[in-house]
Amino acid sequence: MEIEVKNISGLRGTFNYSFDEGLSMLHAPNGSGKSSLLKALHLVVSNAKLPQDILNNYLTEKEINGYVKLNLFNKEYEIQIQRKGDKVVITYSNVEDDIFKFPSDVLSYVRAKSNLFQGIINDDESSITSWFHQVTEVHKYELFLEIATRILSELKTKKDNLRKKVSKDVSRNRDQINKLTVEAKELSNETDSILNSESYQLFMKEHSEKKDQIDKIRKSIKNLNNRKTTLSDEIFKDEESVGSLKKHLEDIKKQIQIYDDNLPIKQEKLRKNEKKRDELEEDLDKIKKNRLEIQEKLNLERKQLKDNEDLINRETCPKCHQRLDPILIKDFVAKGRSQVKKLETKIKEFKTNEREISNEISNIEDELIELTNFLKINREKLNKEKLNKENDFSKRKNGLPDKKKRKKALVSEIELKNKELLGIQQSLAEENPQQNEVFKLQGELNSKSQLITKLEEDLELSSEYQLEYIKAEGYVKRAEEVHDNYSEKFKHLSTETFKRINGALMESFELLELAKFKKIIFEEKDNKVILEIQRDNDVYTSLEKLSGAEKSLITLIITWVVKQMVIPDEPIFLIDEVTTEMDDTRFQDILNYISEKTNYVIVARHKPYKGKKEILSQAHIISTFA
Amino acid sequence: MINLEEKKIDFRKLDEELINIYNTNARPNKAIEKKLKEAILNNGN
Repeated sequence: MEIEVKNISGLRGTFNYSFDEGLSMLHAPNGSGKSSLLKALHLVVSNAKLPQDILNNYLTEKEINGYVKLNLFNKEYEIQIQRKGDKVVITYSNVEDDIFKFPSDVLSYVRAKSNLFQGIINDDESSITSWFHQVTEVHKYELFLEIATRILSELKTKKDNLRKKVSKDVSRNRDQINKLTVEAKELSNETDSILNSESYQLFMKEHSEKKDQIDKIRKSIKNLNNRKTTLSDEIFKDEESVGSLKKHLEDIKKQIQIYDDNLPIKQEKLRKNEKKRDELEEDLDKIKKNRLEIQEKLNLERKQLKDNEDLINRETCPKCHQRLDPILIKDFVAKGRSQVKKLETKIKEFKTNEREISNEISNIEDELIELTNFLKINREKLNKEKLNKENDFSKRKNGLPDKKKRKKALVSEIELKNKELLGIQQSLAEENPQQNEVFKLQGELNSKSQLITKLEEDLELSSEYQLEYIKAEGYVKRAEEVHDNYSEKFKHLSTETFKRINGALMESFELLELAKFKKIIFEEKDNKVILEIQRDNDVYTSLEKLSGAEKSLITLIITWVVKQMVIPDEPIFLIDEVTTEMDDTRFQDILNYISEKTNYVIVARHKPYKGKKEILSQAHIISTFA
Repeated sequence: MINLEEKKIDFRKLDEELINIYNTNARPNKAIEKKLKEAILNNGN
């Protein structure tokens, strides 16, 4: 196995080492670089997954970069380490190879500073517990549990704070409500004392009486007003009736007068008209008679004319067969025609005359109807109507003054009542100091009641933090679930680990025999891991009673057994400064046993070896290290 | 109020995620805390 190291821990610069398989011993003075070389190997073995604070110590101070190159079983593994600001960054190749599956930083590296060794040396249960949890997956669940516990605690604190805020909010409102309720009670008492006082009772009684009085007067005024309105209506109607009756009466009188004046004239005219009508009818008859006579004459003339006209073109008379004189005939015809025309005109004149006379008769008839109607009017009827109207008129006219008088009286009464009402109202409106105080107190009481109602509503509503608190409760419940889960898993895994490690230790009886121990087992006590050791002579012993060499031996045995249990194929096993008591032969036997089962066992110690050379014959001793 | 019945924590998945974080991070504490908080506050998982 070849290793090249540059600027790792105490090794400033580049160094090359070579190891044969089996046990190699590095012994040199302190500060010469033994541990740095083991660290460089550990960097590869640990799979490069080391915490930042440890990595910071791995690069040589003030250097910017370094590396480790390992040639193992003809395969190259390389780790580059660089400082960037205050961080150290690591890059690697092949280190995740099959060989280095597990980050075995505590299993393949036994060192004086390890928790196990320190715990055993100092009888410190915490360090032993810490190592115990680190070596298997227990430590992962321990970490999950630790973080879950912290989160749970944070959430609980947050929840408690919110609870305080919520209750503070609620109690502040309650206090305010209580205070306001007390104040409201005081106000109510004060109001009651005024209301129940004798003077206020008297005032209220008077007040009530006055109010009743006002109601009564108002009622009375209303009644009077109604009566006044009715009377006014009556007066208005009477006055209107008196006017219309007067006019009507005058009309009747006029009619009677006209009647009386016209009666003799009309009677005379009627008589004359009747006479004239009779005469006209007589004339008309004569004319008609004359016209009929002329008509008859006309008919004869027309016949003669026709006969003569028939003879005009004839030479002889058809009747007497005498020769006819055409000139004479023509003369007769012309005379006949003239006579017919004359008669026709006359008849026409007669007809016109007849029509005129008929019209005149018709006019006279109309006049006669009018006159007859006039004469038909009953004088008695007019007189009776006149009398009735006169009675009605005087009755209404005489009743009016009385009504007006009554109305006036009503108006006076209303005025009086109004004055009375005004007086009572004024006395009611006068300020009463007690009542003012009552109003003021009642106003204050009302506003306090409103405030109390509002505060009570606020109490019922979610307070500002209530929702958050409910949420926080939910989160705490979940956090508890997570915490319980990892607590259970941690316990379970822890128990399993006890079983497995103790089982492996029991099975390693060869090693135990070499170390002259009968039993090494882990036990749990009060959540701490303790070691129980039994020497060969059947004596149980506590850690503090063990020698330094025994403590180193136990550390070595436990680490080896657990490493073989967890990562049996890991080819490198490093032992740094836990072998100061190596002169003990038990050490030499154990190292030989281990190196037979592991490819490379590298031991660093500052003391030179003084033991039996033949036992460590295979060891490669670097006496000029660094 | 958050309904815990609605979104139960899948612990098998959570374990896998946490172990993966642990194995791949040099300083896993913060990432584990973040993952656990996500599960608790119902944001993830």
